[in-house]
Amino acid sequence: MKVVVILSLILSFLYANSNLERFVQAYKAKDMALACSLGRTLYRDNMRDEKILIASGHACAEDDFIDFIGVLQQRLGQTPASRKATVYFSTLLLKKRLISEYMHEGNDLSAYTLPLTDHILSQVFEAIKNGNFTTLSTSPRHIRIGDEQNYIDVSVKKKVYIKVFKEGKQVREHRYR
Amino acid sequence: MSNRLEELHAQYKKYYFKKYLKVFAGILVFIALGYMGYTYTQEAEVTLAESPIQNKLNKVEPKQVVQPKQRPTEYKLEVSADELDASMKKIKDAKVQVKPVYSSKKTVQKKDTTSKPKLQEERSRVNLFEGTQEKRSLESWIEKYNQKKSYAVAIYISKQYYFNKEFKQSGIWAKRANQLDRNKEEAWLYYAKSVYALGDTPKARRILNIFLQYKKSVKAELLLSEWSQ
Repeated sequence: MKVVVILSLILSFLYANSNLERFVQAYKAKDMALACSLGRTLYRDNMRDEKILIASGHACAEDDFIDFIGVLQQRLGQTPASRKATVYFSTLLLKKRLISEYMHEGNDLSAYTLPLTDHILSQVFEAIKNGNFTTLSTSPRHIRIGDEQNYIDVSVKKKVYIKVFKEGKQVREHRYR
Repeated sequence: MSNRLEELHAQYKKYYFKKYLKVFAGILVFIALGYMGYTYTQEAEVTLAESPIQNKLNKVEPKQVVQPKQRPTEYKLEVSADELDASMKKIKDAKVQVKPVYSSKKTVQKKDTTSKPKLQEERSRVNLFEGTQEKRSLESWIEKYNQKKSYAVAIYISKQYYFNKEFKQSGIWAKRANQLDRNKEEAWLYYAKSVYALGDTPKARRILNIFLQYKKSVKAELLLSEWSQ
């Protein structure tokens, strides 16, 4: 029996470590989808290290898991870096909601001034706020940000779709609930 | 006759004298008026320049062009490789130092009937609740539950099992807790999470869907969205 217990301990220890190592490797390699998935697993396994949590949140923000970063940030806030990260995460969450509201109901966003981030949601939010876009249709709302060749196409069905086009070709699609 | 001519000549001179005198007087009046007018405007300018209104007007500086405020610095997130490595090393070191003693599922069930205080002490766990809860073994919690059935105790046992990665037991206890109080979210979530951890994703999703049918839960929705990936 003791052997089984020790074996299971070693296995669980190795498994937990391998998850962490895989996460670090994925994040370093900029494989944000895998890093986000592993980051969520680490979060569920009660991860408390703030650097790992920030990296998980960053990966999930890039991989469009915006709702998860809202949950994640409750474990952050002990250091200046993590407080900055919580601002980043909260901003994205709010911008996502405001864009969604605009796309569904057409509410005015010009009154809001929020921190600028390097995320696509920030670009879209600033463009809508400043009116730098072309409306293609109003119901359902469909707008275009940018010039003829390089632009961001924002549309809404049940979710908000943000498609990034470069030289006329779609290079990325984001979907937000 | 000659006298008459002299008279006429004198009258002629007198007439022209008067005429030139009038023209000269007119020119003089014109020059005088011009001079007076000039001096009056000069005086007016001096008095206006000395007046408090003009002083105030003179003090007003030309408006400066207001530049639009620059937006705050961009927020960028990037955790460096060194920081991640340091964190990983720290976590590994901490794990090596702790070395918790876990008990297997079977031993827990066996000891349920014949519990020994010494063994119970040995099995105190290192988990999420360490430091916030009294260090008691699972057996004592199960005994407590057997004495008086309570939702709080059942869900606590379920959580303990869950964090010890004994998902089957965790599911059983979550179900027991759920039977005691069907409105509590945690029991549903731990039941679904345990089933999911055992590999039965459709069943886990079904459990959450049942819960969501009669109660709104952000956590359940989040879990569902994760599992649908």
